[in-house]
Amino acid sequence: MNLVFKALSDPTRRQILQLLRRKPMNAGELAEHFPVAKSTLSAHFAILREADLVEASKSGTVITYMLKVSVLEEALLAFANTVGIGLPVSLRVAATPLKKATGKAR
Amino acid sequence: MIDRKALWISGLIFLLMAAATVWRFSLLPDWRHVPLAGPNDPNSINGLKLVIEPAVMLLAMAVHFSRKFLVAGPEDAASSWRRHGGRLLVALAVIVFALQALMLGRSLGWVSLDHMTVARWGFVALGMLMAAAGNAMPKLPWLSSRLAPRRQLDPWQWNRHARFIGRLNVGLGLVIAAGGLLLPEPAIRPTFLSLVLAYLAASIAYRIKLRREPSALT
Repeated sequence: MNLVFKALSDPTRRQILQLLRRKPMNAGELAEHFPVAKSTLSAHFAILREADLVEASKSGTVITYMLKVSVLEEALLAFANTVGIGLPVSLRVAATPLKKATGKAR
Repeated sequence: MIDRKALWISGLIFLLMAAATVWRFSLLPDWRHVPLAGPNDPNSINGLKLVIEPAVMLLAMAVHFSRKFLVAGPEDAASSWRRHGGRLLVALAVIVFALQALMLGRSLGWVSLDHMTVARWGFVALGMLMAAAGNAMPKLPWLSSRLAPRRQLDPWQWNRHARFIGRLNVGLGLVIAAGGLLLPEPAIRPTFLSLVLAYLAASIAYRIKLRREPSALT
């Protein structure tokens, strides 16, 4: 479970999981969504695989990732996203009034 | 594809349960009327109710065993299913065995628990087992069906289906556990029956929906 918490504590890894909820993606498709070096992303993929949150299947030179989260892990992912675990405090504080203001406007 | 150790353990438990049922019947003048709380209790239950638990066990074992013929896949995927199925089968065997033991103990006057208390804790145990099974479901790998290979879901559709069914199982399991403890006795059966029917309808409808959608893998 420690590996899962470690994997979910990082916003980039959580975003990868959110993208994989929509459909399976290969490393290149996932990389388009992140302004980080491929080596950094590879490290994130390794952590997600170690925590057994994604499944990787290799076809030729392309590695396709598919989501592999239990119901509890999916709930933890949603919770971590809501609370903003791993985000800088300034971002967390900024995000909260924005959500409230949007809610009031509706 | 099947966990032989789990099958042996649950088979042994099934034999114990069947033997206990037959032994209980042999002590009665009429097997159709089993005293509820002690040999002198005028209240009785239909003897067929003592057969329910061994029958449930036999059905669960048959379902576990049938996987060997229904699905196929690589060894690592099959071993995940084997572990999952084996754990569920043994856990179910333990719960069902405990329920039958309490029922027989009450009937013989050895246990003084109220029958609703036993039933309520039985629902809690079965609900938690259902939730645990549902939680692990999305982790299970895709296996190809031997029965209808053309009509089966692809790995991504299976993944979505397993996540949906997993959430349903966890929700239903927790509701059964909580409802078993908190609902008034007359409301338990209709509530749970309608929930199970809704669960079946939702899982079939979602599977049909997925099959109509184009695959993300093609």
